[in-house]
Amino acid sequence: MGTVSASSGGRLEAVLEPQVPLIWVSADSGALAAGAADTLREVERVVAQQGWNAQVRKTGAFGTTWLEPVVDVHVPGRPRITYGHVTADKVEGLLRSCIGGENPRADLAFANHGDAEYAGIPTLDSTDWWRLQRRVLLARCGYVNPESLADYVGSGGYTAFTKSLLEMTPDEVIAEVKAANVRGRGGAGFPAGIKWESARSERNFPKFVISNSHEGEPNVFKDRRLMEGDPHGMLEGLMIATYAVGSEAAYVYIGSEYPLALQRMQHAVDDLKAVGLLGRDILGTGMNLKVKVVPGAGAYISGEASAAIYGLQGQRGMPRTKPPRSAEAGLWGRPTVVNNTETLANVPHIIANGSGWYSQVGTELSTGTKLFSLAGDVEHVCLAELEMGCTLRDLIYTTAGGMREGAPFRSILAGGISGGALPERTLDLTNEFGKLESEGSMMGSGGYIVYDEGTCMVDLAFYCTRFNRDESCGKCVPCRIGTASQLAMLQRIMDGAGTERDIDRLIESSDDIIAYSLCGLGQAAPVPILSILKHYQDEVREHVLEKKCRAGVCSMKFARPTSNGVRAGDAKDDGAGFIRARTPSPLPVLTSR
Amino acid sequence: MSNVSSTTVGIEDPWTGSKADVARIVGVMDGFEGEDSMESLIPALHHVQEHFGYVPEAAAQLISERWSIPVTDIFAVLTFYADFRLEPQGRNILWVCEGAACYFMGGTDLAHVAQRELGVEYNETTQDGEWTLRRADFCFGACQLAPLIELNHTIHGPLTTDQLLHMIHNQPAHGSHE
Repeated sequence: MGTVSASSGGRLEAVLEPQVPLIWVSADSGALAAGAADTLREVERVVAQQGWNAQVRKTGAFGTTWLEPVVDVHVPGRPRITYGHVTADKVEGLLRSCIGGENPRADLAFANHGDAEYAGIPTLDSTDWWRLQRRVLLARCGYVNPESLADYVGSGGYTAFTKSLLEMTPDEVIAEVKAANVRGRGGAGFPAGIKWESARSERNFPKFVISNSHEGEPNVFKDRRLMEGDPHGMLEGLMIATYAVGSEAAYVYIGSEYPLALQRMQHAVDDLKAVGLLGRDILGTGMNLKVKVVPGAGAYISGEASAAIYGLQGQRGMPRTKPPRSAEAGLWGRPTVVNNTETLANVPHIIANGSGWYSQVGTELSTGTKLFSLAGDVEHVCLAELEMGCTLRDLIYTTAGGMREGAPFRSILAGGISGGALPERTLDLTNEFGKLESEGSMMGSGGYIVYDEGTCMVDLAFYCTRFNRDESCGKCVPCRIGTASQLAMLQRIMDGAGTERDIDRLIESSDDIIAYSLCGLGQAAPVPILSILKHYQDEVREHVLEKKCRAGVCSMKFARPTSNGVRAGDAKDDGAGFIRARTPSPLPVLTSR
Repeated sequence: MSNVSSTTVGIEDPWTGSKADVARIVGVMDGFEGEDSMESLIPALHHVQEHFGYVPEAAAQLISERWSIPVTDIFAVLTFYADFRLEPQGRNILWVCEGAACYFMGGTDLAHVAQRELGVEYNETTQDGEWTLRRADFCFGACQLAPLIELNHTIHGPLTTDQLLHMIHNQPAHGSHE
C-alpha cells in the first residue's frame, strides 16, 4: 500500500498494482442502508464458490452515496473500477464477467481509477463528481478498511503523531496549527490553534480534549461518514491535540444515532491500546493517554460545546453563559479543548505536510478543504471534499450533478437548519467562513440541502422553526417561547389566515431571539425565517395577501384535513405550540424526538 | 388496526422485577467499574434501555442507590434526552424520517399514512402493543434513500405510501421486540 500524498491533491497511491484481484465493498451506514450487507455476503459467497484467489475487503465513505451499494473491482493488469447500485442480485453476474471473464461490464461501471479511459469506462478524474474535489481528509476513504489499523499505518498513518511526540515540543505543535489557521469545522469557525494555546496556558490540571462528534442535524452526514470510513484520521488529530495541550484523557462524543461510527471508533481505540499507542508511557516518552468513546442521547443541542460537556458529565445538556470558555473551565471545571471531528482530522495533515503547505490550500482567511454533505433534489446525493473557496454553483451543478431530472432550482439551505435559504442569484458566492453571511446564510458544518420548485418556502421556514422549537433546551425564554410563537405565526400563514402584521412580528421576534439567547441554537434559530423573508418575501406575501401557495404545498395539505382539522403530519402544531409545550407528557415536547 | 391508547393496555412489560432483571441492571453497572459514575450514567441508561426497550423506574432507583446519584438527577437526564423512554414500547418500532430532505420529498405523506393506518400519533403505541410510531428529525445518514423509514433497525427507502402500507400489513404479528 502506498502513502497518502495529500500534497499531490488527492488519491491514495494505493491504486498500485495488486497481486490478486481485489474486491472492495463499501460498508458504511449509508451503504448498509442501501443493502451493502447483502452485497458483501454475496461477494464472499461467490468468491468462495468460484474458488478464485481474490481478496474481499470492506471500506467506506468514498462519497458516491447515490450509487450505493458500491463495489470496486481491481484486477491485476486493469485499472480499479467502481461499480454502482450493485445489489446482491447483481453480484454474481458482475464478478463472473470481470473476474471470471474479461468483460469489465461498462454498463454497471461508474468510473475507472486509472489514467485513461478503459473499455468505455471514463476515468474518475473526468467525472463531474470527482473533478473539483481535493481529497485530503477523505484521501483514505474508499481505499482502506476502516477497521484495520494496519491499513491506516500502511498508508502513512500515525507518522504525524510520532513526529509531534518525538520531534516537536507541544509549543511547536501549537505554533504549526496556529500558522495553518485551521478554523472550527463545526460551524463557528473559531481557530483551533488559539483554543489549544489558551488551554495549554492554564495552570489547572488535569486537562481534557473532546472530539465533538455529535453532528445531530438532519442531512448532515460528513463527520459520520468520516468516522465510519477513516476513524483513525480523526483519532490521530485528537492524540496530537492532547499532546499539545498536556492532557491525559480525551473523549469522543458521538450522537447515539450513529451506532456504526461509535462501534468503529471504539474498535480503533481498542486497536491502538493493543499496540501501545494509547495507554501508559506511549513510545517510551512518558506520555499517558486514555480515550473514551461516549454516546450522546438524542438531543441536537448536545453539539453545542458546553452542552456536550454537560452530556459527558451525565447531566442535562443545557448550554451555559460564557465566559469562562471551555478552554478555561470545561469538563469537570478543568481546561478543556472541544474540537469538531473534521477540525481534528485536519491536524495530522498539517503536522505531516507543514502549515506552509496547508495554508496554500483554500483561501486566505479560510484555509484547507471542506467536507460537504449534499442532499435534496439533486442528481447525486453525495459526500465530497473541495477546497475552501469553491462556489455553491460548483457544488450543485458539478459535484452533485445538477438538479434532479433537470427540475428548476428554487433554493439551497446552506449551513443546515441553523443556516439560511439562498436563491439562484447567490450561487456564485464562495464557501468560506464569513462569505454566505452577506446574504443571510452561512457555510456552517457544510451540510447543504437543495430544493426544486416543488418546495414551498413558507413550509421550509416552518420546518426549520419546528426543528429549533423541538430542540431548544428551554433555558432561555426568547428561544423557548419565541420559536413556538413564530411557529404559530408561520402556521397561520400556511393556513391562509396570516396577515402582514405576522410578517412584521416574525422579523421583530427574530431580532429578540437572536439578541437574548445564550447559545448558537437560539441565536441561529430565526436565521432561516429571516433569510426566507429576505429572498422569498414575494412568495410569503402571496400566502398572506392572495392566499396562494405557488408550490401548491400549503393548499394541498388543507385538502386532506385530519379529524380535528389540523394539518396532516403535525397535528400538535395547531398554533398553540407554546401552550402545548406545557401540558404534562411522559417526555417533554422540547425533546419529543 | 387499533385505537389510540394513552394507557399501556396490551403492551407487555419486559421488566418483571425478577432476580434476573435486577441482575441485568447490576451487570450493566459492573461493566463500568473503575469509571466515574456520572460519566457512566448515560451510557449505562442506554444499556438498560437496549435490553428492556425503556428505562424502568426500578432500574433508575437501583442505579441511584448503587452509584449514589440522586434519583431526581437521573430523571432529569431521562426526561431531557429524547432517546430515553419511560414506558414499555411497541413490538415494532417505526421511525418516519422527517429530515430536511425526507420532509420535503414525501416524508410527511408517509407520516400521514402511518398515523392514519395505525391510529396513533407520533410517540404513541397502538393499543395492542404492536406498533410504536416515532418521528426522526435527526439524520440516518442515508439521504440518497429519501423519503425513508426505519422499521426495527432496518432502513427502507425511497418508499411510496403504498409500499409503506404493504409493509405495515405484512409485518408478522408479535414481531420480535428489539
